[in-house]
Amino acid sequence: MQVTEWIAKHWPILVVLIPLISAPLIILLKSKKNALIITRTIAIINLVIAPLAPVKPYSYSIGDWIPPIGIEYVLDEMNYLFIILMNIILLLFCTNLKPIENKVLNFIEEGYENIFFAVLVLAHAGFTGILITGDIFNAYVFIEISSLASYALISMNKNKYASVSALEYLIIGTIAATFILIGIGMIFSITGTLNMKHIATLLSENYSSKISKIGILLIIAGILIKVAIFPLNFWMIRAYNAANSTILTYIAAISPISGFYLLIRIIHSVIGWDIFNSLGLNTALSIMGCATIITFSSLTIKSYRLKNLILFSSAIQIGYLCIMIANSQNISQIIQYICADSLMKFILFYFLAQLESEIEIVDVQDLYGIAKKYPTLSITMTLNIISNMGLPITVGFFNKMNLLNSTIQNKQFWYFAAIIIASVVAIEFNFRILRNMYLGEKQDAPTIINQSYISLVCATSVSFLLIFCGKI
Amino acid sequence: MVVVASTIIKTLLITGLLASLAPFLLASHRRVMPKILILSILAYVVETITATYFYIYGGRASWLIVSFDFINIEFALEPLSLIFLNLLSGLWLLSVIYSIYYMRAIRDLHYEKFISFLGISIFAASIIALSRNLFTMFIGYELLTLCTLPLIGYYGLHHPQINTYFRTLTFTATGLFLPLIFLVQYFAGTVQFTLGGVIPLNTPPLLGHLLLFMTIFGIAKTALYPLYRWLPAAMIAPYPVSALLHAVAVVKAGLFCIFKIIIYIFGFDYLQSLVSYFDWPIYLACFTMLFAGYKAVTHDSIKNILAYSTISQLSLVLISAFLFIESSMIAAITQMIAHSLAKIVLFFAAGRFYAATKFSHLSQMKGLGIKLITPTIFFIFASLSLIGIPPFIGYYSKSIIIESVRYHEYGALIKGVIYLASALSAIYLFKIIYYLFSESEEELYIPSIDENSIFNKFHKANNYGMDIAIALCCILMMTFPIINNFLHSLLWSVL
Repeated sequence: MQVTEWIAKHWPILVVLIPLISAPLIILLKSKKNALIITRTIAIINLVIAPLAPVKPYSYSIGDWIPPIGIEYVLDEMNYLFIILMNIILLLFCTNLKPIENKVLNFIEEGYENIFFAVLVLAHAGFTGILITGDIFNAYVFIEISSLASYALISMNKNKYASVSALEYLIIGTIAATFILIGIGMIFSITGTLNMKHIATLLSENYSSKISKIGILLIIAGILIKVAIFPLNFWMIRAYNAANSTILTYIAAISPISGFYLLIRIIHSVIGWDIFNSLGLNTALSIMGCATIITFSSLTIKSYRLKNLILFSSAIQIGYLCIMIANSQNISQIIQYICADSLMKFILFYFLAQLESEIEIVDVQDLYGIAKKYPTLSITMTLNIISNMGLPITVGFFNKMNLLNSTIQNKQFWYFAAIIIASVVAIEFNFRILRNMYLGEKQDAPTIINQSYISLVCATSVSFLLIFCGKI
Repeated sequence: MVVVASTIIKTLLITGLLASLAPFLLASHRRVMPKILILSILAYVVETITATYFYIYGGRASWLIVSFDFINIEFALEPLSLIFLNLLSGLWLLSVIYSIYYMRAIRDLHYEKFISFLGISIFAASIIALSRNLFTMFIGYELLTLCTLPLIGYYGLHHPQINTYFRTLTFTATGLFLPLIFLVQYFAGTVQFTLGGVIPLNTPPLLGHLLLFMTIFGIAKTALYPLYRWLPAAMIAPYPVSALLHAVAVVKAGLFCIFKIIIYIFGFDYLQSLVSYFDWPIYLACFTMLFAGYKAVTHDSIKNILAYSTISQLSLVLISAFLFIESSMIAAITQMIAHSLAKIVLFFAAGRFYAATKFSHLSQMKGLGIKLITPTIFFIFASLSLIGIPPFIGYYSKSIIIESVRYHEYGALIKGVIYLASALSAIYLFKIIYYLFSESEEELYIPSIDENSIFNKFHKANNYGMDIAIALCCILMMTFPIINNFLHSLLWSVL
């Protein structure tokens, strides 16, 4: 009884601390096997203690320093689901063993494989920290932790472009983080505090000063570079294109959660919806979102490489999310959208990683015969592709309905039209993938090493359960 | 007394779903599968009839499954849906009986998936039938497109026609039908089907025309002029699927969506005022009717002739519906059912010819009429009905359409178009019959009627089974005038 109480009391710090402490532990233990066990255990422990979470909203002050002075961790409806989902994704990623073994660990010098897991767990700690913290500078620290770890993860590929694009990712990511840091500094100079709630109360009184406005703009700009929105997202396409698909199942699924979470947290809990609107940021965000979906929809039309299609489709989803965040105040719908999107990316990249276990470049034509050879895989993929198309009665359909509704409620008919056009294009290129899966004969299909699709089926069912997330 | 009950809708939908999944679930028990399947579909038929009587005696039913903020998935019983449901369930039973024998006759014994998707398509169509708002209807509409895809691609998805089919239907649905829902929600405040329409009468005509445009082209399943190509493209499917597409599920679902939107979303009053400025829908339908009739005459494959004939007949239904008056709407519904019954007989008979000879081109079918006399007779009956020759139902429905056309400004012109299209339909249908009875130069070889074959017995059984299914459809078609009075009383209660 006391243990559960203790866990409930320290829940917000535990979810960060467990992975953060495990990272050096993995390095010390020096064994691939132990590293894997520890990584799985982290995810399992975090999932087991998830139901013990204290009553929301809950404020945790580190070292019993009273919040505006000390660092505060916050647990509420906005981040609880994300934290659970992140650990689910980590767990599912670790079940994906054979591709990790074949595509990642083989390229690492023998005896140092545990470093990979240490970096992974460090990234996980950083991403979880972004979600839980209520202190804006602490959030910056976690952004840096997670980014540094992701640069290392992205560069782990045999591909010669991997290190170059990881360097590019590093430069852009550092610039974005610097923007955020300067913004934080400016807001600190006006308000004299780093606590998000405290900033919110102080900023609403004197946000008219130019410095605070510039501070807000810099923070938002930094986050937008991090989430990769249109003019600033070609680094993401290049980096992910060169990166290892197996690692992308984790990175591509997790990083939008943290990025978009930070965006909605800053908008709704720090600067406030009214200030956000009065600065015209919602219009800017929607226009950038529209530009993203139109650009990448047009890029998908002539693309036949599976990885490009998946990357473009995730860029389009980012555009949708930006439009939704700019137009909707219904946080639970946004959360549902982000969760579904992240799971969808997990599934798509997992599928890609499975295919890449044998062949190098995967064109859509390489999918021939998949449906006949791997029925389970193809059924799950079909459901996901239908969801990606936004056809009923999948989670993607309901998300698209919410998105369209949010634009039409704000009388933004141009955004509405852009989304409709992008949806039509999405049907086109997703059908290209779907159709190729069902073409061809059994012997055309590429060999897939890991034939247990537990994680895929789990991810699909979780994403479909999310339809009812808004109801709860 | 008005009783509100959701049980009747729940049982209808669950029985429909179970019956459609039965072949999947019983795939390992091949002997009992057809029996259980037919019994469960019979249960579905009985339930629809019960629901109809339940409604006639004052019962009302609605079922709200789930409500997300503004998206409600809700079902309700109302006269139009009951008519469509009865049509669906009856023809589902007959087409499943036919399909089983057909698949056996063409020696494709792994037909569980096929029958199952046939059922799921019917299930999706019954979602459309029972829908209470535009959202539910849209869900059913898109599900129907998705479920028919494996049926059309039954002989492989490599045909480019699959692309035409899927793209035309989903692009228009997502590009026009989906925004329509949101625009209606925005301008009318609700997407619930309400008698008399939900769109306010003071909506500007330009917007009204835009919404009407989105309705007519968004629901591409009605195959109006620029969007008709998917229907001939879908002819790569096996015959029972074509029959289902044309007679029951897909095109009729499209028509039904149009009817429901006209009656319950726009309302006749608003549409009357709208088309008084510019009456483009009816001219489009007239043009499509003639165009498709002409195309049917020029084609030589029996499937293509029947496909273009369907497009032509659908336009006739739409001409009647686009008059936007109560009596013409009833005429349209009557014509829709008459066409369903006639078309299913035509396709079943054509499938019977195909199963016997593996031929579908007219020139290869010379002399077939004498060898396979039973299906040929049914084929002739259905053709006569489709053309509109007196004792058959087609005459009746066509005559009431012509009667209601006189209310239109250019009634004489439209009447002329209908007569011309009927003449064209007579040409292309009699062309088929002429080929069936004409003398062929060489002896017609019919592989399945081979006396020495050890499969002979089974072949005979399959052929009789198919003939019986066609005969049942034909009987349904002949006795339709009797049911018709009942139908009218049901319809007048709503309109």
